[in-house]
Amino acid sequence: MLVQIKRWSWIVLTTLSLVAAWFLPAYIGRYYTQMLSLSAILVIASHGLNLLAGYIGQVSLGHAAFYAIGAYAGALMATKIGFGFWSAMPFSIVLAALAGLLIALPSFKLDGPYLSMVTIAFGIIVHSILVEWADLTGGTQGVLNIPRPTLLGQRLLIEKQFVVIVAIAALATLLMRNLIRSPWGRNFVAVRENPIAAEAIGLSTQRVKTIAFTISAALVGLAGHLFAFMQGFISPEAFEFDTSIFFLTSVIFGGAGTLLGPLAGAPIMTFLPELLQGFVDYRLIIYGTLIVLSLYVLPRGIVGTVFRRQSALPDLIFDRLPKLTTSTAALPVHQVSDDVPVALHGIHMTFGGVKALRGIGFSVAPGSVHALIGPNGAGKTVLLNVLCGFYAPTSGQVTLGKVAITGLTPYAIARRGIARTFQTPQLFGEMTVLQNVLAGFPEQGRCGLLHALLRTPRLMAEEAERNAKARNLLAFTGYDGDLAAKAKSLPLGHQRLVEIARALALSPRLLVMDEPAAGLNPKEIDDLDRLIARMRTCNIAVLLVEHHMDLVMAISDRITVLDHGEKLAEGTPAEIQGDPRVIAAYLGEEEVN
Amino acid sequence: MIQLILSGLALGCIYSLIALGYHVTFVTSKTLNFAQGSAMMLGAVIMLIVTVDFGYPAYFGIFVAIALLGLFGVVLERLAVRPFAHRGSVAWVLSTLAVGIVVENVVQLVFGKSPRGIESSLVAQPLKIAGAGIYPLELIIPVVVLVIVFAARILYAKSMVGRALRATAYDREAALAMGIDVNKMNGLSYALSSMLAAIGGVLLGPLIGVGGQMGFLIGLKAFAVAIIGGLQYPVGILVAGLGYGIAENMIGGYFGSSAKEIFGFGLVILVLFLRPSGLFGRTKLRRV
Repeated sequence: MLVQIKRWSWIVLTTLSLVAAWFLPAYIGRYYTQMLSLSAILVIASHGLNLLAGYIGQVSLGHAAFYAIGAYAGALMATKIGFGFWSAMPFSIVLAALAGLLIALPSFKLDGPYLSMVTIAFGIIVHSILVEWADLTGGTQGVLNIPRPTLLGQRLLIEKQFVVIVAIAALATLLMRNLIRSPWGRNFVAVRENPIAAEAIGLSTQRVKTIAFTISAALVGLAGHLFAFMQGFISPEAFEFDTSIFFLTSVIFGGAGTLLGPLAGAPIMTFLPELLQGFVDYRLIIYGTLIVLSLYVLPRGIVGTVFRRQSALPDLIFDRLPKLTTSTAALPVHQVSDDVPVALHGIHMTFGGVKALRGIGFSVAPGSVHALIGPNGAGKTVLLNVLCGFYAPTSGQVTLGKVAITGLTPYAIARRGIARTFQTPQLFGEMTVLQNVLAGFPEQGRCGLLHALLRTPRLMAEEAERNAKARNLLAFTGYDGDLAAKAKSLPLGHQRLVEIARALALSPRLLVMDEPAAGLNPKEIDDLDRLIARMRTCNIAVLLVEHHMDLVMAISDRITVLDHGEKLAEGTPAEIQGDPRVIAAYLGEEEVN
Repeated sequence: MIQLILSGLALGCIYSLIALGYHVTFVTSKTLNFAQGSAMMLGAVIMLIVTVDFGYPAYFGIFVAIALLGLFGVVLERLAVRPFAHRGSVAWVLSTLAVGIVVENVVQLVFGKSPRGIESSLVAQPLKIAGAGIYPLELIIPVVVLVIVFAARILYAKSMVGRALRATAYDREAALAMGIDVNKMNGLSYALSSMLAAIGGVLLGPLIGVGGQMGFLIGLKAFAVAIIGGLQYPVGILVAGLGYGIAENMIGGYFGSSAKEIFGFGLVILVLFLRPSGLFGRTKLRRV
């Protein structure tokens, strides 16, 4: 019942807002109609920036540039070559998106302050061009006499134009919602929450960010297009640095990373200046103060504060999830078909003057459990990082069968079937347990943008199937907790299982585990022991760094011992336990007796 | 030509000075002070009020400006950075920007919108050097800036406080464990950064006029310089600042003032594309 209401609430709200938009102008007059149109436009721009600043977690201080590109593209096509509001719209959107792509491609090797710099710089460049290239843009004068939008051959009055703008804003909101609830939304939030884990499950963080930036620019370009036609004239003044800050404030104030945030933030930001009209000189002072205050008082923005408990992502299919039944745990996970060993050959790794690894080589047989042991500082984790592509080795090769995979990016290696878990579980904290596992399926990333935006039946069917698979994987690992809990709220043991389930979603041939037993209690270690045995029956090889010798000796087929970056010994558990060098360096006397 | 180079050199030194302010806060607290431009402006305004309106001598005005800006930095860090530092870059970028905007507009409200000049014997009469007219101040600026940079380096390397700052920059946790008050160090870094901006302001004020809006673009350009040189590399920043100042002046001289912004900020994007850690930086391995 509740689910039904929730599903319909969107349609009801959209209809209501359109009806309101139809009747409202008669009561409030043209001035306020224009103001409301402006806030609807700001809603669209805020959705765009929210995708970047909220869902991906990257600040842009130059989105006014995309607003300008959309506005000028529309205005110039209309005034110079006679395009109309509708026919010019796709060009405005595409041009802004292309500009976004152009900026995003180089910048996402960077993040944080560097990205801020690129966006600031881009904003200033675009603004300077608007002023400077007067032949095209009209310089400081701008573009005048932009024709009113038409619909069915009729010129739209301000009142009807308002309805059109609200309809477009509503449509943008719906598409945003669909996008965020699709696998794309999961990828976005995954990249924000934990870029390293995102790479480890086969996501190219750079690609995801670039896509988000492009979509973001497209939406802001659309907003700019609407702005130009709504006003009838544009000039560079409207696209200064202040405008970028204005957008960002609207997003932050409304609630970054929430779907409804822009709907709350944008109108407030549009009407606030109205309230302050008597204090024109104080306006920016009050803006600035408001930003700082809202950071203090409403760190999650208005919407984020109201819906504090919800996960960062709404679920696509099931709003309420039944508890896992353990009976499904008997179901087998996929079987790896090809028998290709993963091998390391003469790996050297040097950090500055420190030789962390000196010529390590060994091979992990398909479907076997291979342990890597050695004292702290022996280079075990470094070796895993080389294997998984987080470090490029100074020399040496990593091979998968006969193919060298040395120096590939972590996500490329993950996609070749080498999954990874970390010493401290690296989950996507704000996502639910189930969403964490769902994010791990590599094929979810191949869902087409149109499928995501339109929630096609095919996507829904795929999602339902993934849902079942994800639950099955969680059951396989023995996870018996709440599927809808935020990952960051889980106890360590559960986090570990969720991380393993997510890694298994990759259908790995090899699962690389860094100290999976660390911090677990004896019962949990026993369970882990059995879980690794179950994985072996599915033909998944496991490479394991571990200090719990009971566990290592019980489950390993082969053991490699590292000491000071060198391979000390390799063999079966029995051979290793009897090796005097290993005993001296690591195991100690009592272990053998 | 020579004139463009020499005055570009002076301007570039100011950029470097303010850019070093970004460097100082970035290495200690991994945050940037986006109010740097406003801090520079505030330094110049205080100097002007003390010397022109109250008639105190210039050295006193400079002293007051630098001291008050040190205080400004401490307050800024405490109120607008520390509460948000753990929350990711969105929060502190916005909060420091917002403080900058507030400061800028309060000054315009109190001080008036039109810029005012500071009269100084150093900008009264241009000197003739190889046919170029250049103010004595423009020749003094590079000297002053170099002295400050070297003094700062010595302070950093030798003094106890300098060591504590470096330790904080290197490893926050370890510094904490060694009994260094990391919060205090972050506050200090903001004070230093604002003081560097203030020095930039008092040096630049007599040349370009003092007003609420003088800092904004210069603050951004200094940021560009810091990025080009490499946020972690003071020497790189110094070189980048000089280069930027000279190149910008030349391009501005030949192609007009909008062209120089397009060039300058285009250059930043290009540099970041080709060398993400700046021209003089090295890429660091990330820790997994």
